[in-house]
Amino acid sequence: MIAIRTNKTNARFSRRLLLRGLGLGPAFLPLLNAERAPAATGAYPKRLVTVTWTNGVCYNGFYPPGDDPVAGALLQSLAPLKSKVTLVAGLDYKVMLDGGHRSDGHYSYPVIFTGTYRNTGGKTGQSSTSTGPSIDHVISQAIAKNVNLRVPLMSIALVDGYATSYSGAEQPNTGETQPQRLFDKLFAGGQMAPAQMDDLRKRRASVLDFVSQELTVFGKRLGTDDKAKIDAHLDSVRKLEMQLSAAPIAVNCMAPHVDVGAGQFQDNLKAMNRITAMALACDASRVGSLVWGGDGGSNPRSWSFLGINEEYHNLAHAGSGAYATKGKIDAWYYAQVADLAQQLEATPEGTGTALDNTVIVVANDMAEGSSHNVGGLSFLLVGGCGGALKTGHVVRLGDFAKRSGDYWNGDSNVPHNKLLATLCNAMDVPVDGFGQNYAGTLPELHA
Amino acid sequence: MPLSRLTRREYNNTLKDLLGDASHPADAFPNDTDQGFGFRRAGLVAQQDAELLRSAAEVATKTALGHLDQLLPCAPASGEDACAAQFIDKFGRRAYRRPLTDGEKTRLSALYGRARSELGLDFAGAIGVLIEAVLQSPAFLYHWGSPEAALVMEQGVARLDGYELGSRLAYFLLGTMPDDALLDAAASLSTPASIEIQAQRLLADPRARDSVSAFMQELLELDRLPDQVKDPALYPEFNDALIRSLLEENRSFVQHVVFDDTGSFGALLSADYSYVNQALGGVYGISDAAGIELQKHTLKSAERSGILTQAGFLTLTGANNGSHPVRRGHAVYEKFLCGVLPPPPPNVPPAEPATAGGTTRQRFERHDQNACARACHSLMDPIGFAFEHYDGIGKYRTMDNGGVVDSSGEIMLDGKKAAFADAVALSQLFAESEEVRTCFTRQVLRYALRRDDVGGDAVAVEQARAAFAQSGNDIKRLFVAVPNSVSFRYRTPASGEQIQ
Repeated sequence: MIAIRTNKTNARFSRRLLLRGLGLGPAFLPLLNAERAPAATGAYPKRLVTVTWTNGVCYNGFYPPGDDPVAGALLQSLAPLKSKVTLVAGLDYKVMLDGGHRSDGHYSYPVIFTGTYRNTGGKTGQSSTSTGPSIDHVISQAIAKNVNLRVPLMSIALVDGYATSYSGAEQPNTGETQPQRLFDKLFAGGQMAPAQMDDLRKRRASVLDFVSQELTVFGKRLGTDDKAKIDAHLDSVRKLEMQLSAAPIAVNCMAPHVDVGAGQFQDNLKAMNRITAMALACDASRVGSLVWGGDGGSNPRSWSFLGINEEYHNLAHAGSGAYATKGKIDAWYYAQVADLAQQLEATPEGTGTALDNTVIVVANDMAEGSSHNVGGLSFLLVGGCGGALKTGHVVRLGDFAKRSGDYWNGDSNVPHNKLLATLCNAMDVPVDGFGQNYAGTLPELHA
Repeated sequence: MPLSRLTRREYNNTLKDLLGDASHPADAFPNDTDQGFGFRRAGLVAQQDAELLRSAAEVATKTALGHLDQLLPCAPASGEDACAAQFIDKFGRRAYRRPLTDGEKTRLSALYGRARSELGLDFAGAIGVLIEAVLQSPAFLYHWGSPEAALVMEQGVARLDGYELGSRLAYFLLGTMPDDALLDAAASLSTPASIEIQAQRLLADPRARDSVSAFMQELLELDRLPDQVKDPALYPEFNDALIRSLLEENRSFVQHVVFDDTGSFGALLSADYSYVNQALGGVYGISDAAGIELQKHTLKSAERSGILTQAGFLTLTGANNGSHPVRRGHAVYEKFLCGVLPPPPPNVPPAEPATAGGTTRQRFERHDQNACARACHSLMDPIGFAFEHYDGIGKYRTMDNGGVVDSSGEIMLDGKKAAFADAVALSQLFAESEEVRTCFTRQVLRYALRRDDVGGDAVAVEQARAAFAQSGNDIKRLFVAVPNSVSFRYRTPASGEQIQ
């Protein structure tokens, strides 16, 4: 009952909710707490942000003819950053294709960043889950071994109930839906007196310790599947325990006001981007998993703020006939990527910017909207990941390179697992491969 | 029965009964949509969920400490530690819906001690820590029996003990924790006769009205109505007020049929009345409906017949600019005939837009000629075409895109081919159909068990269906018969579960 809940929320909170902070102008303060910066490189931490939405891309507005990754009409908002963008064209969700799930684009969220797939049947026989963790989880865990950040992994869902982040087999990381809550998690305590904060921490530690004991006893006799649910719960409680001892955020690294507006989808997305950029710039977090649409296709449902009164999903199904209308929504989404990237670009770090030390990985749950296919699709990368990735080019892989004209409805025969492994390595988590079945990396992306 | 956690609705109701806290904190939890199941089912506790559970527990505890005297079974002045021990017993039994195990008591006592010593809290503060902890513990959050007891096996299946049965009964019929009377009766709750007495008692509780209408709203997925978008040029009246009215109409109608009228299943699908306010009056063409409050009104009998012809279902399953035979047919096929469709084949082109000419039915029929689409659409679309008289928000129409509406068709029902003129006639066929009643029985069973029915549940379905039929298809009887079925009272041990 989402609308009803919204009404209640509006009643409880003021219509224009302001997240408090110090107004510091458009850019964030550079990273101040230098003791957190990894000594080995003497530089700034690397960050990874994944962004996912749905319904595929319009072929004739997305792919550029040459080597300028943002020459496509839909990507115009990224043009000022073109030297920092890489278009990786020609990957398959091969673990799905192998099982004959070529057109299950709406069921690929568990696959995109885990490189794993398991069909779970469900009402239509298409439901799916992961058999392992996603790269954002693995990378955030690796970072957590060295530094105890406020929020090691920001899992954010603009549409309730969808996630691409998995902490393990069949364990989605529920996304945060409310900007205010995310803000509090990252920056809470700023106003609280240290002694009061310390009491709260001790109290929570005692309760969580008790809850862990109870979960352990509770899980002992359970069957395998039920035990896994309790183990996941226990793991979540342990993460909360870890969080209690996280280092505080530097007081002077606070954000300008974030205006959540009327709490509509587009307002929330902007607020989440602002908070995400702030968290990365302040080193409250280094990894984000951002889900900007439901993989059922029609969520969010309302695009009236773009003057469109049709469902995104229906527009996708209409294929090239509706590209003009669907392209407006696609372009709006890429503009939000550009907005996030520009905020990082405006944050200086050494001789570069926070964007140079970040990689934003933009994914879709399918290749093209009308056929819902998961072969021959593309990822967009923004940022050089601390110099690990070459940027400002188009990489055409596998059979996709044979494409002529606008359309490519075939497979590439390059598993996207290779991209996931490449990203792990770029983030200093050495791996030979990632996910099920397919090892290897994509040297084409290396700097 | 797989391990399941309190849904948002259950959490809110439980907190109200346990602590008198009516603040509905679970509204802030993720929705309980489970892609693989027809009803709401809470998901895994990821870190985000654990944080929300903690935050809800902390807020609820603060509120509870404001009226602690009402929660305490004793006066702390006569001995604080003894009173804490009593609180653990009494409060724990209500929160866990069963007596605590010795281990649970010991660990809670230890936590109380730690709160007093290490945290330096006074009596009330330490009781607060206990409440906070109990509200985050698995015994409170999950539907399950004692974590330490051996299973009682009978012919290869495990018999639920009285407390587990009482808890399941309360959540099924009232959507909340068992009351004291049920907890007191739980120790001897084992025979069908004793379950029958409690089920009848709970069904007479006013809160049962909400449970039965919540079942129907989940079955029809009406909670997705607020997400719908409609073309404002075609349907300027479609707004939040109308959406609230659609939900309220369904709720009032279902509660009236089941509790205020005879409870007849047939009436759900064939009633010529509904609950209408001014906004809904505009949809139904009832000019004398006024105001925001819904009132019982007789609808035009040629146009309406029960829930499938109500605007809520038709809006949810309609397109943003007209009818949608596939969605409507699919929903009816799945929810009322318990049909299962295979996944759509790849590369089926969409039906043509209205600008291609012809009525919606003609456009979808052209689409169905597509060889790869035919197999499934032959199951869904003939049912969906029955609803062609209703536009995207359920208003009645006789013309569509310049052509005359044709809503006639045929369906295989109860092993026979039956012809119908429109959705009113189809609804009336459904109202009398054994096949539809059997499917409805299965849906209630799924809702009660929080899982799909499997082959082994055939006995339970037949037990419940027979009792339902014997009562003249009284839905109240069905809601008592389901908890008395073997599938509700027993469960198959899970793979890897420790039995002894």
